[in-house]
Amino acid sequence: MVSKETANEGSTAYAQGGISAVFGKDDSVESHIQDTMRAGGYLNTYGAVEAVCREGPQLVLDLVEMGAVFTQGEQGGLDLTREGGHSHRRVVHAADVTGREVERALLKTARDHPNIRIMECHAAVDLVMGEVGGRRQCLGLDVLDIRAGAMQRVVAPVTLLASGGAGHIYPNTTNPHVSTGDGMAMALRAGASLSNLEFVQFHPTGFYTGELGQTFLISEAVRGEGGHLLNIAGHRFMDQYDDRLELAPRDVVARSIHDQMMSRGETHVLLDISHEPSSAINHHFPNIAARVKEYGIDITKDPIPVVPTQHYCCGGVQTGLFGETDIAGLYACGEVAHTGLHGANRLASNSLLEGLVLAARAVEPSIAFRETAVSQAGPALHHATTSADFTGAYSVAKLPKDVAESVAAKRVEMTQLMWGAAGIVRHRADMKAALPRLTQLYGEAWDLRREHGVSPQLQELVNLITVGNLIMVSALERKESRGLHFTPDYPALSKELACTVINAFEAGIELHAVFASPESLQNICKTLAAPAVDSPLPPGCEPPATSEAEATGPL
Amino acid sequence: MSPAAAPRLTGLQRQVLFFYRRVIRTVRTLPRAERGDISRYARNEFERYRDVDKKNYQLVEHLMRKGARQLELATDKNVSGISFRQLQQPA
Repeated sequence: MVSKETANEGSTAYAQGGISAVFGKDDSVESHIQDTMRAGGYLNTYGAVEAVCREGPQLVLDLVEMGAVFTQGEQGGLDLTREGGHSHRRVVHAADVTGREVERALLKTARDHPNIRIMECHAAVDLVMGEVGGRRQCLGLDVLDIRAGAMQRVVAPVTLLASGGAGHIYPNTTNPHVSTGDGMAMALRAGASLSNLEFVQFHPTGFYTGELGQTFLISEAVRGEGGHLLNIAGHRFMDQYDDRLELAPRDVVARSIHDQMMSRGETHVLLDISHEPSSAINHHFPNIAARVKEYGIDITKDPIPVVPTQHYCCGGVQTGLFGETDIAGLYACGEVAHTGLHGANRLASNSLLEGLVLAARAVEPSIAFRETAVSQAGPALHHATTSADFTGAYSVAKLPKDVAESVAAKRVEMTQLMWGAAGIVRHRADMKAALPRLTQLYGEAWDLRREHGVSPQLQELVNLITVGNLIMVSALERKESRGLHFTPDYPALSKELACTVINAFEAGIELHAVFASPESLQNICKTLAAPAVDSPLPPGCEPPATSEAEATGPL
Repeated sequence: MSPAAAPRLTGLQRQVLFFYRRVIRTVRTLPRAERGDISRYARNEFERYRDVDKKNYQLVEHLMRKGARQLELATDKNVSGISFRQLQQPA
């Protein structure tokens, strides 16, 4: 297991609300499916939704067996809370730190396992690609050992990306600082297809402090347990936007808050749960209470200032129902992947569930693939082991001060472009105006990389700008408003259901964006997959040298 | 120029020309609204690689495979839109 930071640093640890799973006696898998499809604007892949909703409950119980401690209900059994978009109480939680607890249990199990080696503070740089039996195959990973300042190649017959999202494309995000789109960008460079990247979820209620960067999330569950949204004047406003009020899906609530802020010229709104019993508030939200208390706010008495904040990427590396991508030997799971579960908008607490179910589903197929790969890919694996070349653009860089400042400035500029043009409300004119500069930033980032080599800051910049470009291109392809993608230029739903699929035919030089029906996604991805015989050219490289062979041909 | 003086094309060059004509014929079958962008893109691509050495078989075959995939995508009935964007200046 390769981790850019310590193994517990990732979005999972910050997931507060819970894992959705059908346990209530009045609840049903069918109801969970319908809630998921409805929230997703029906752009979901039904097979993925059905598998995840059906298999989730057993895997939650398996987590309990593994040592995860969830909040118990008053009558025994798991306590189930409710969140926006869910028709029933079905969110299993560990107080308000569910992700942290799930990760604790899983990491303990992993650390205790003699066959698992965890490489912490190793930043993935690129996938190692080779050719096996006439097709391109992933053979492992080139990583930067951050502590030692050295590049290293990890050769493996099977690689699974679980690198999370790309929240730091935007100025404010609930994501930790490691979420810089590394897995998505590496997959694109390796020739994989990515889908539906325009569907970026902005959590309606990030804690507003006036600072940029990672924002503390005020969980969906606060609204689920009775919290009210108020404008600065103290008036509830959700009745102007949706009959479900504060329990409307996140995209509706986020746009409503955005509209309130824009129309009133305000920087934030307020989330107030002080009308509920203090004992219930403190029991359910001890972590939130403690965090906001650092800013002098008592949630049992005061409203909490909140603002829509980037939270989750619904799109990602296109996978099938067993985590397989269109690159042999490469799997993807969790936020980095697009299984089709979330459609145009993720239902609350379905993200931990997706990671749980798809990871479990990927186990047997990846073991089977490994056994085949070991027998067929021996020469390729050996070649990968002996051919690592960490010179030039792959040498380790120590950035001079002025270059480091330039990298930081480009990163800030990119976040401002993305928030201004591809945020909660997207005007096509703004996106068309921003895209050339975003593309130019991509070239500038790669120029710096080729000149200076690999450093964590530079690699993150390259990856962030890559994914930013993909999001912007995808958003421009979608000429409708659906789920998380809202554009006043096309405010209505289109009659056809279609997904955006992106592939870089030449490893980052050129993007192809295709708008295709959800049922055809897997076939489209197969067509887009890089050719078998030769590898794509690295960005900016010259074409191969002229062949010395004589001219021959069929005629 | 008489036919006898015309340059002799290799088999690979003839394949490329044949493919180019196929692309143009296929684009004409697409809905009118889509023809312009794809046609322009195809012409630009052929022009961009016009000077590739005729003996650079690896590159030529790579480009033909790429073009064939792009054509397949553009004509797939499940595809309702396609766009091509340069992320970097080609070498």
